[in-house]
Order: sequence, then structure tokens, then C-alpha cells
Amino acid sequence: NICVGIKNNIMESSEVRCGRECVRVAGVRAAVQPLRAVLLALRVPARATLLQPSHLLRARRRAHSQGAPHRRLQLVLPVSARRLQLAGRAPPAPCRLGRLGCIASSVARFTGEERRCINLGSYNYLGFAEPTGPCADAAAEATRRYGLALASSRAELGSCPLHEELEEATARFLGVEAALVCGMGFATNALGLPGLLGPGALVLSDENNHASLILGLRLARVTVRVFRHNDLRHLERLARDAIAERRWTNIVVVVEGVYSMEGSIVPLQGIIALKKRLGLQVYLDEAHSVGALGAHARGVTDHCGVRPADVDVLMGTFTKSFGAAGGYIAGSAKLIKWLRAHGHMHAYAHAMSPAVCMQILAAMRALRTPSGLRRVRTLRDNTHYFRSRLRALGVVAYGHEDSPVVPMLVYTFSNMAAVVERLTARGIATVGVGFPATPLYKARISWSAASTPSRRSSTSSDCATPVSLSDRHAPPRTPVSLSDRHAPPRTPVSLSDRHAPPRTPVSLS
Amino acid sequence: MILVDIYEMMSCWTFLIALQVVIVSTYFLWTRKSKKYKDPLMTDERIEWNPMPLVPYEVENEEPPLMGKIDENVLNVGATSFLCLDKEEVILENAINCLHKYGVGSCGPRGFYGTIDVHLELEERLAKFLEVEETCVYSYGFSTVASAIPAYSKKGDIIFADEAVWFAVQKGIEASRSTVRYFKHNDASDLERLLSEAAQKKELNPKRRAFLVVEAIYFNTGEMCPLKQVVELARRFKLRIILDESLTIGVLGKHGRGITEHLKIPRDEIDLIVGSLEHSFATIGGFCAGTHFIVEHQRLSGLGYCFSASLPPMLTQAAITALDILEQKPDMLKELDENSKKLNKALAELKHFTFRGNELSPVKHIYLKNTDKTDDSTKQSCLRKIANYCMEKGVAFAVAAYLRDVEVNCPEPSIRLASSRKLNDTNISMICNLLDEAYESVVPNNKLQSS
Repeated sequence: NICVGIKNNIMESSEVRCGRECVRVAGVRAAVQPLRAVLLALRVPARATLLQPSHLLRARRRAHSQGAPHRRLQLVLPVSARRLQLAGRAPPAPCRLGRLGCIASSVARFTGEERRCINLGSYNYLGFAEPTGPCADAAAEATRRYGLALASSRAELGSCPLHEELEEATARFLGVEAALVCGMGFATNALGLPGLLGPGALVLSDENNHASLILGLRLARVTVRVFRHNDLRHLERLARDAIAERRWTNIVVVVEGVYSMEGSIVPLQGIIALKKRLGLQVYLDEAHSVGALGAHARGVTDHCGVRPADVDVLMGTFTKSFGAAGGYIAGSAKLIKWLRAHGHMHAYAHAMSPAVCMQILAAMRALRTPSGLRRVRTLRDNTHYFRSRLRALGVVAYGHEDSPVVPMLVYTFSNMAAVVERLTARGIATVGVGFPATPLYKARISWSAASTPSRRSSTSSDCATPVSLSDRHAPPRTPVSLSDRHAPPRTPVSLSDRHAPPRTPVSLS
Repeated sequence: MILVDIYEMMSCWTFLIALQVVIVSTYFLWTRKSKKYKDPLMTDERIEWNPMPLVPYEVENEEPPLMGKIDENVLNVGATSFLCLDKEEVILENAINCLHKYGVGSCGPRGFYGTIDVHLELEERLAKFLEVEETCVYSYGFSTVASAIPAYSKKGDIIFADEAVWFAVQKGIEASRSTVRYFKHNDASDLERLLSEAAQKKELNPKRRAFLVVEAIYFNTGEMCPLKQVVELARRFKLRIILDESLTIGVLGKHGRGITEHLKIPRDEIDLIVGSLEHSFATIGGFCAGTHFIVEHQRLSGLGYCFSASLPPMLTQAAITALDILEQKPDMLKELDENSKKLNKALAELKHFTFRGNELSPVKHIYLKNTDKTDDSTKQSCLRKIANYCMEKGVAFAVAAYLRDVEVNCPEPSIRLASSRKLNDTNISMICNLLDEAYESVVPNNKLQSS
């Protein structure tokens, strides 16, 4: 399942134009540098018709040998396909769409460049989003039987037997009484939370919570206080303060199972203990964890050994592990009835497509069979293997050992762009995540592990690739392109502490 | 001489002041260090803490009817598939082919390799169809307008909106945290009054963006927006228009391009057109259309676009095929218009109901007649009974579902009737007869009692 994806990472790069010369420079700092300064920094003749990676490497080596390494060298991207075309060379083979960007996105456009890549950016953890196989066949069958959409909301005329079956199956899968499904994962939070919480409630929300949770809380008009990421002591302090204020009708802790940008797993046992001690309520968003964690693929409750009934509201999406779309809210029968009456999705949002319903049902059925559970085990093995290889390379990967999201830190924006560009050149599609989503100095590459047998090879071959990336041209101790830090060679830091993932990033200097 | 004097004086004062600074700062540092977190629950005071449960009391849901494929066993006049594209075999086949090419889910947001070539194709095709520069496709109809509004309007901006806008628009406005003024439904003079008041109070000023949010045909009333006057006002007071065309794309106009084509308003007068693929196109999703400059902004700041998985490719392909069909057979629109008009004529003769809805509107609302003293919940349950009765007789009606306590201006309980291409004269007369018959059998003595 190779995807054609937009490369969104060159958005921040800029083109410096001078006559017929065109050098693409990435990064905010470099964007303001005029062409001459860049060329001077590279020490290539200003009349060079084509800037090649070897130019950069040669220039960098020269700079290193003179003891004055020039940071700006890192900012320059390799030659773009368009320039190759200009120089009369054939562009690389398909199938990934390149996008030529400038400083403002309003001038970004597709270059028509295509490249075939291994997709390590999509969240197809268990490989159920495959175009053939039992899931796809079941979905096709459901399409013929029920059509593509019901053109009505669930509360009106949009309910079909598949929806009921799916809700029952979801509840049984998670081990709770009832569930409610919605056609879009983002909307599940944004439309479900306002029905559940009112202005009298206080919400203690993790600082890394997803945008949909934040939007849902805003629409619910609750007071929100933010606690430090996965910091139980801070959470407890805020909760005790809030109880002492005597203003709140109830206090709800809103957390995610696996954080998509950090790759960390919530310390759920601690939160449940705190909940029981202080009388809090817990809303758990399992967007990334359901299906991907635990021996029975039942998400973070399964992984942490918490009874699902102890969590007040279980929310999750079908987009990732189940290879479909939409989301669910599950919990006690009373809660689900309340949500049907007061949540927004049941009355207003159109019903989930029957084909999507069937895909999820088929995936859930598959997860009850040994072969389905094998996928879960393979995912865990792949994740462990991938993390261990990354660690061996000496790069810093955040998150819990078992989390299928593996963010690799590259720190600066320009590093991120350069790494993604190089990986793409080697046929690996990954996502760089930069400033608005992360702190300014913690840009990262977000990998996602997958379990498909065909992916197994891809995952391992990929692990080998960063090694070959630091090939003969690059300075010897550089994993990918973190080369200009002058730190002594570090011992790889294990970030797998189960209960307290580190709050501070491991410093490189 | 003077200099020496000053110097002598200063030396003594300098020493004193320096001493003071040292003492004061030591004191501050000392107190700061000794300040520790005191647990408010560990004082002697007793604190009563009985948190309210998340769900305060048990509620009972009205069981919605279970439907098969649209129109399978009953005549479905509640589903908003106006053009009956859900029946087209071509669409289903193309969607299934696409399913066997890409699988069901897209497994990621648009920026995270969730963009499949069909998404780009649909965006391009929609832009060409609507004759705009660019469109962007969302993965859910509700989230489209609810994300589009807060993408532009922020805290400190001002929004003027019709009071009958549907729930997603209300949520979009709420999420934007802007100041909002609701004007009377379809009343351009009330809008003008509000606008001139705002202009007098200097609420409309160049430092603050002002938006106007209207629907082309209102989902909650079935009325059409007087867009010409509204556009004129918006230009006069320098407002930006966000127009929700969910019900009019594929319905109004010669080619189905919506209200702008129908009223012959140049499309660039409207800043942003928001549409849904869930009605006429009979699939899932929504889109925003406008100039490249405006639409591109959403790709980074539209929450529902940025942070949600993209539309499943098969549903995208279905929308593309629906566009193909719409472009090949624009006559479908005429049939739909005819039916809507016929429906208006027939509904006017109902004995126990009044109705509302423009004659071109594919959505009509049917209300109970002579029920001034009855409260809304009685009306709602009465309508529900009527719908159940009709369901048994083979016609499915949708009782409009509203969350009464959350809606800004909750409409009266009604049955939402969706006109469509498939209706013929016998269907229409049967629908009307059945409604009256149901009323007479459900409501004894033809009198509604307020409970």
C-alpha cells in the first residue's frame, strides 16, 4: 500500500533567485540570506551551473578541516528535481508528488515529480487498510448491500443494522457495556465532549493533548487547567488545589493513551489510583493506542492492566489500527444513553458510511483470531526492533518502548527539512513535525511502525538506511544529519522508563 | 568645589543604600526559598467533596428506525439524497474499484501521507465544476463549516449570522470565540439595522475583521437566502461572506452550481463557499471553495482539515463519479426542481399541517397546525408518533432532531421532508394523504393536549 503523499516539509524552504541561477535554501534563517552569502559559505564558484550534494559535502569538509565549521551548510537542501530537469537530466522515477514551495504557501505548487517510497508516515499499524483481503471484501460487500451513505443523521433515518452491530462489537471488544460511533475521529471528540461536560466542571488536561480534545473542551465551555506531560505529581497537586477551591461540580482528567507527537504512553495505573483516591473522573482518548497496544489489542487499558470499567469514558478512533475512518465513545450504558441524547454527533452529524462500518467489523473479527493477534505481536516486535536500531545509531527517540509512534528528534527546523529530504531521496516517506506542533527547538521526524509482513522487511531495511545515510561523504559520527553538534559521542539514552518518561529532552550539548 | 562636596556626601549615602539593597534582597531570597507547596487538603479544615457523576441521571433514548439501503423497503423521504445518486450502479462500482486499489481508510491526515491522488482529483474537479480557483475537501460534512469559520474568524472579530443557521455553523461560530450578532431570519433590513448600529458604535472598523455567515437554503427552515441584498449590504459595510451551500450544490442553478448560479451573482463576490458532499452527492465529506489565497489558508489552520484523517478514498471516488454524472446529465436538476414545486403545491393542501420551504428548496419542514398552546415536547412526541405510523405504512419521514437546550434559536418541532428526483405524482399525493391520515389516527379528537 504505497501512498502518494504531499511533501509538506519544503513549505518553509525558499528559493533564492539570481538570473537563471536557482538555489533552494531551507530554514527560516537561511531564507533571508542573499544568494551570494550562501554561495560564499559554500565556497563554490558563483558561476557554478548546478549545485550538487557533493559540492556541499566538499565545502563542509573543507570547513571542518579549517576548524571553522559553518552551520549554515546544514541548511542547504540537495538539488531539486526541477533543477535536474533544467540541467537536462531525467528526474527520478515515480510515485510521490513533490511540491515546490516558497516562503509563503500561497505559491507552493506541484512539480510533477514522483517517487516510489516506503510509507513510514501513515498510521496503518496493523495493516488492515489493505486493498485486498477479507476486510476489503467485506467492505465491498457492505457497499453493495447498504450503499455508500445513508444521507441522514443517526437520530433521524441514518441508522442501519451495521451501525448497531458495530456499536455492540466495539463495546464487546473494549470490555465495556455500550458504545457510540461517529463518522469522523476528530468530530468524536469535538462533538462528544460538549454533550458530556458542562460549565461547572473543571478539566485537567495533559499539555500534549490533541487539537480535537482542546476544541471539544472549548465548545463544552469548561474551565481547563493544563498539567505537565504525564506528570502525576503535578496532576495530583492541581487536583488537590481544585478540590480545596470547592467551586467545581466535578473534576475530569483528560488524557490520551499514546501521544501522537511524543510517542509516550499515559501512566494509566497511576491516574486510576489517583482517580479513586480523590474522586476524579477520567476521559481517555485512545486514538493511537486502541488496536496497537496490549496483548489482546484492546488499547492502553489492556497494556497497563487497568479494568476498562475503571475509566469513565473511553474514546478512540478507527482510523489507525482498524484502517478505516471514524471514532467511538464507549463506557457504561447510562453514559452512552446520555451521549445519544446530549452529544452532538447522534442528532446532527451524518451516519458513518456502511462500507467503513463493515471494514471495522471485519478488522475486529480478525483481531479475535490467532492470525490477527499475530499482527499485534509483529507490530510490537517491529516497534522494539526499530527503536533498538535507532538507539544503536545514537539518535534520540522519544517515547515509550511499546509505542508504535516513534518520534526521532532532529531539533531544528532546517535539520528536519534536510532529513526528510534525504530520506525521501532514499525512498523512505516520513513526516517531519516542526514548530507549531512542537516547541520551536524540538522538531522531530515522526515514524510509525507497522506490522504487515511486507512491512517487516521495509521496517528493517529502513533501519539500515540511516546507517547508509551517514556514508562516506558525511563526517563519521553523524547519525542522519545531526552532524554539526560538537558534543562528544554520547551513549544512547534509553527513554523507555515505563512510569516516568523524561520531561526534559536529553541535552545534546 | 561643588564636585568635591557631592562626592563626600555620596560616599556615605552610597554605602547606606548598598547595605539596604543587600539586606532587602537577602530577605527576599530567604523567604522565597522557604516557601514550599502546602497541600490545601492537609489542613485541619474539613472539606466536603462529593463530585457529581458524569451522567447525573438516566435518560431514555427514542429508538431511531433501522434502515437498510435508502429506499429499500420503504419510500424514504427523510434522507437528503436529492438526486438519488445513491442508487447509481456506476458510483458503487467505481467506489469498489477504488476500494480494491487503496483500501478503505487513508490512515492519516492530509499532511501525513493521507493525501491520495483521488483527493487531488476531486479538489481539481470541484474547482472546475464550481468555476472557482481552488477547493479543499474535508472528511466530514459537519466539520467542514465548523472548522472553516474558526479558521478565519478569531477572538476579537465580529460575525453577523442569520438566527436560523444550522447547528454546525453555530458550533463554528462558538469555536471562533468572536463576537456574534444574530439577525432575524432572512431579514435583510434587520441585518442592515444591526450593521449600521455596529458601524455607529465603531464596532466595524478596519482593525477588526467582520464576517457574514448565511446559508443558501436553510437546513432548519427550507427558506432561501435573499443573497443579492445580503451581498450588497456586505459590500457596503465591508464584510466577508461565508456562504453555506450544503443544500444547494447539485440542486440550484442550471448546472447545479448552487445559489450563485441561480441568482446570477458572480462567484467572486462570495469570499468562501462551504458545501457538503453528504446531500446531493450521497457520499460523506464536505468542501470549501474560493480563491486560492483564501482556501489555501485552511490547509494549515482548518482544524478539521489539519488534524483529522482524510476522507476514505472510495468515498472520494464516489464524489468524483457523482460529479461526472451531474455534468453529463444536467436534466436531473430540472426533474428535482419540478418535484420540489409539485411538493409545495401538494403540501399547501394539507389539513392538519402547515409547511415551510421555498418552492425550489429540496427541504420542506412540516409543522402541526393550531398548536399555539402546546409545548414543544408534546409536539415532538406527536410528530414522532405520526412518523412511526407512516413508517408502518411504508413511508419513512425524518422528525428533525434538535438538541433543544443547546441550539441558539431552536426551531419549532417539525418533520423534515426531502424532495428528490424519484418522487412522482402518486408518491406525492400518497405522502400528503398519509400525513393527514396519520394525524387523525394518532391524535384523538384532533386536539393536542399539553401535558
